[in-house]
Amino acid sequence: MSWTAPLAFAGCVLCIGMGVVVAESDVRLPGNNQGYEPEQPIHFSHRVHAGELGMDCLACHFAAEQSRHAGIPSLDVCMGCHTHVTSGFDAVLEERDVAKAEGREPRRIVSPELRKLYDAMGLDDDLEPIPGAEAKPIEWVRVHGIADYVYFDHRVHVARDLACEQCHGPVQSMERVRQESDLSMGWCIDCHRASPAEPGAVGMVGAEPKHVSIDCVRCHY
Amino acid sequence: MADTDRTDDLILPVEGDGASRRSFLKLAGFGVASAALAGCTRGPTRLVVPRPTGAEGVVPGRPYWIATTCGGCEAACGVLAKCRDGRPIKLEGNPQHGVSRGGLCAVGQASLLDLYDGRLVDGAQLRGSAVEWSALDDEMRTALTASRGRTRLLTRTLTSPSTRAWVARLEKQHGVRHVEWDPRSASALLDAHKACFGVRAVPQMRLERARVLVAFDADFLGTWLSPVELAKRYRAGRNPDGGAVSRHIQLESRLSLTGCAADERFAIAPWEQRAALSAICARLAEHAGRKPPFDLVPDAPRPDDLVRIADELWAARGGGAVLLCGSDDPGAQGLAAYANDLLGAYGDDGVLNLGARSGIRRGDDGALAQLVADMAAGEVDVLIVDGLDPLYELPGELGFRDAVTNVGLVVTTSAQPDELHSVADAVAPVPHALACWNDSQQTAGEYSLCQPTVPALRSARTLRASLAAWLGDSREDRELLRDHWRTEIAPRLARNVPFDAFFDRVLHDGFVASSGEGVLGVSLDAGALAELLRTAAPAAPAGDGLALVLHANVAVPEGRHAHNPWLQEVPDPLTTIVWDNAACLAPETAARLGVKPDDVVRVGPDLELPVRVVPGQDPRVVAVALGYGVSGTDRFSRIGPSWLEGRLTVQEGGTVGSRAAELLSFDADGLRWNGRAVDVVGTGESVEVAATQDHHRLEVPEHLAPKRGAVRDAVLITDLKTLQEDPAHALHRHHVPESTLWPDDHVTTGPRWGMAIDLAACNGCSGCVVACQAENNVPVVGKDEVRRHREMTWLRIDRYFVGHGDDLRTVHQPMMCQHCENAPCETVCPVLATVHSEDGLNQQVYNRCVGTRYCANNCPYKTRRFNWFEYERADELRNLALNPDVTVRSRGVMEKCSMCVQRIQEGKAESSRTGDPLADGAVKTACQQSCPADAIAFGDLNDPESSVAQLVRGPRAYTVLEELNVAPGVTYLADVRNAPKSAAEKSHG
Repeated sequence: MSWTAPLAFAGCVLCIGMGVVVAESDVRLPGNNQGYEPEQPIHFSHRVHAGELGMDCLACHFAAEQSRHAGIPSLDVCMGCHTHVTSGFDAVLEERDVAKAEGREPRRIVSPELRKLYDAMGLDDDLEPIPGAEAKPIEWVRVHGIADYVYFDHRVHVARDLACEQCHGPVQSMERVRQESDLSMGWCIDCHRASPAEPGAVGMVGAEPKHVSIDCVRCHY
Repeated sequence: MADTDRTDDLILPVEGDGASRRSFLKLAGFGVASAALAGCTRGPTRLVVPRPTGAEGVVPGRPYWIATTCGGCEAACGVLAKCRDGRPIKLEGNPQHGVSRGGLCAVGQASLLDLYDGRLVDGAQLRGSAVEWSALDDEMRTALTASRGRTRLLTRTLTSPSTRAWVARLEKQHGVRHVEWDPRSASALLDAHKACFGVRAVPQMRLERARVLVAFDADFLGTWLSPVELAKRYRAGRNPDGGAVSRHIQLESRLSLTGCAADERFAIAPWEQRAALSAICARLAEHAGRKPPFDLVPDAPRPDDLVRIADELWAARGGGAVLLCGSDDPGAQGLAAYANDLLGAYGDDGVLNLGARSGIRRGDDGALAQLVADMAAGEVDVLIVDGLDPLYELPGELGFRDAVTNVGLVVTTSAQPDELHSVADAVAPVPHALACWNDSQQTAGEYSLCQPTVPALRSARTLRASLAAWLGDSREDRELLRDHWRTEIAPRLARNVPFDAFFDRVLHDGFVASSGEGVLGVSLDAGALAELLRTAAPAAPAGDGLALVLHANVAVPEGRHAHNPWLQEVPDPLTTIVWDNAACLAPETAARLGVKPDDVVRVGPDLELPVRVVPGQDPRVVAVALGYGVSGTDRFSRIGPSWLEGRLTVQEGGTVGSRAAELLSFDADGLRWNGRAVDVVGTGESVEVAATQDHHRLEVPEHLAPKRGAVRDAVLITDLKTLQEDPAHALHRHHVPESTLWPDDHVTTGPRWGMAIDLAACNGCSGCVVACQAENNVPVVGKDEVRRHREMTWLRIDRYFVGHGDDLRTVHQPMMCQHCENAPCETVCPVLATVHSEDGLNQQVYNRCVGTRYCANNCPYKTRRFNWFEYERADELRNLALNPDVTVRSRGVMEKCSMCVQRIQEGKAESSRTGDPLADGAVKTACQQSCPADAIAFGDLNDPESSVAQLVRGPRAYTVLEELNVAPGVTYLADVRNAPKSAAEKSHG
């Protein structure tokens, strides 16, 4: 990596020299993870859950109402439904047809992705606990990450009826979650200061102008 | 900032047996793990790891509170452990707790860090090697059976009733003899009560009732018995703004925190105590028309003052007068008991209540001496020691070190590898109070429960569980505890409630009290009192010798607290020393000996200590703090930053401070802290002690002062009489310029946060200092950095001496960022890293700061701290104590008190979530919450009804350096002394 640093530096100097404005392009400032779409240990589809099934975001991310963090639900939240739903609907229908043709009872179909969930929970094919198996946590990859010195609070925004999509984008259409906004401070402030000319920050919450703080210690402490 | 993730999404089970320390750390590690870089423009991949199964009521990122009991000392204050992600991150006083009522001292605050001490013994040990608990249990069962009647259990006062029950079973089944002893012994007080009233107990002290309170060597606001409880009660009886104010007179040989708070204070030598008490008793007896049942002790110091004090006491008799005595002399204690009896202090309405006697001191010096004699005589086969390190705590002359070699099997329960470990055959380590089940009985009817707040971080077992296992009961500790509560406590306290509901209720509250304990009617046994006075009295040292006064410091009161770096770095509120103890001398004594501060003197045969000069101390004594010189404290030698010119905090193989316990003396009547005659000689050497005394001074040096008298005092004192009669002129106010260069552009529409600090209430206990450190992730910097004026504490306690001699007043002033409206720091920051918020806070923005330090230069209060280094955060276990709501600052960044803005934001967010407006008192700063004296008020200055706004309007309110017109957001309330009538006129403002 030793040669990349001076190269990057030279690149920066060149950009500034040419007066290139770094915006709205593929070039991102350091720390800007816009468009980040990492692979997750389980192929969990927000498109299916939030889009097709129309589940409310807060059904799983219930912490967003009460806490700074939206929270990744613990596995037993998944199990609330997936004790019964063990596979996609298509696979179940197919098994039903096959079973009908073979003249037997349809078997329980477990999708490979849900198998990972059951493994983590220490459950066998009949969803019975495997003796001696401990529930293991799943290591999800964080998509929306902000710096350590920023303290964003979900609960305040949820309490003021901001739609989740306003920051997180059309998650209901994402197969794999992608960071839609750049989550930069300027992007936050744009909202907090809907009218930049006005001192003292009056932002628009829905159609209502509301006092929204732009104090540094609102987020940095 | 640090390239790590917060562990907020990691929630671990609070209860449960499966989680080992390893698995806990592994899980905790996931949260902070950062994997490979995913390309140059991407940050490192960060993981979010939710717990597999949710826990009821636990939401990621949301703190939850567990009511439990502090394990810092025997006082057993109630605490609420603030937990995040399965671990406690902060302790706060439990406001509902009947004893401590929301206060918490420095030791209690810092006890959190001990939970995350990686050096503690993990699992049972037998003859130096780790063994299974069952192997230890087998060995113990065999030994206990074989040595019937020849086993001793040595503990400090056991406050846990369930453990006492198991001790009783052990005594019955194996003929074990139980010896209780306390390093901060109250044996003389207990023995005197036993002799005079037949009750060997410390009475409950209802100081809120006292109208006249005279204390002899009793540092009840600092280190004596139960300081948080006593400070709460004391303050309840002193409300200068309209309520009653007690008269407090202190007679003591060294200057204690309690002496600093006193309305009147006299320095008397330890050997003068009996005479002084005797003079008071004689005068009281004269008033009562009785003849004292003992021969008066002649040569009382200051007889006129003593007569006046006795007259004041007599005038408040029958409930309002009390004489507290913290002396180690049974004779003095006997006289104090006689005086209290005459004054009716033991009556129904009296201050002292032997019916609800305190259960926190039972130690018996005589029993300890007998134990050592038995050991020396070879009559002890098995010795089990709990909570004590006699090799450190006892003087060599008692002979414990030799005697212990005669014991076949020595078992210690200490988890900290202490000196006893070097001779112990077995170690059965006890868990931290925050990681186990326990209970505590403060008085006859008051019980606290202690419950785990975190899965076991190491393999450990409470004394109760160990005793039960050795008696063949292998039930879980929780069951043992519940069993005792079911059979012994619930029948008395929960008559009509099912046990499970009762226990759950106590678990939720952390505390239960029976309604009304009866007052024990006592009558004084005059013969026994006369007998007490025939015990050997402390004698004046011959010639030029000084009398040694050994005492406990507020921050490191005992050796067992020495392994806590937070406590070691708390400046002693009087000497302002950190990481050391010293020989404290009165100014005239130091002059006579030809020594000055930092000179090394030899005290006694071989104790070498640096000198500190303390005005107000009796010139005939030298005061030395115990609790230092603990072996193993060289673990802190490299604490703080390491750099070219950095020096070690402790030499390798050395200790923090010096061990003074060797100079304790043991005579027929018990342990003596005071009065030993010692020679103090200068060694000709000097060392650079790390003391914060001269750091960050507010006074302008004389040669720079614009005009003499133009600079006002930082602390103001008024006397009660003036305050009540002419409140408008109670303070000598300075002229504040009306015109200002600052534009009036800080208009706040919502709240404007402000603070009011009552100097009449603050006693300098430093609980707030540690609370702030714990809340705000303030690093420990080590002795060398403190020497260089680079301590990082956001909140410091300034100590001012005002006046001389008997008129000496010592005032403690908590000083932190004053959040000035016209903040001088804000105008000089070139990058706008410190700016004003719309709610009146002076904001410090770490991510903007480039470290010019202009702001610190321009701050008149000297409250800004610069991160000269990336301070040590390598101990991952200790890092679990970090507050995830506050940024860990990195090198090159300025920081300072934020008025706990994270708590303000939390309060605002909760208010916006629930829709309820933010009520006054809903947000408490860490310092305010912890204060045992309720000296700090915080709230919205724009709300005229808020408590802080009312205080700011009061007659005692002033701001420090008012003449600078920086309009601080922190207001101080002048100290008030309830001066004697004759002295009220000459009091100075």
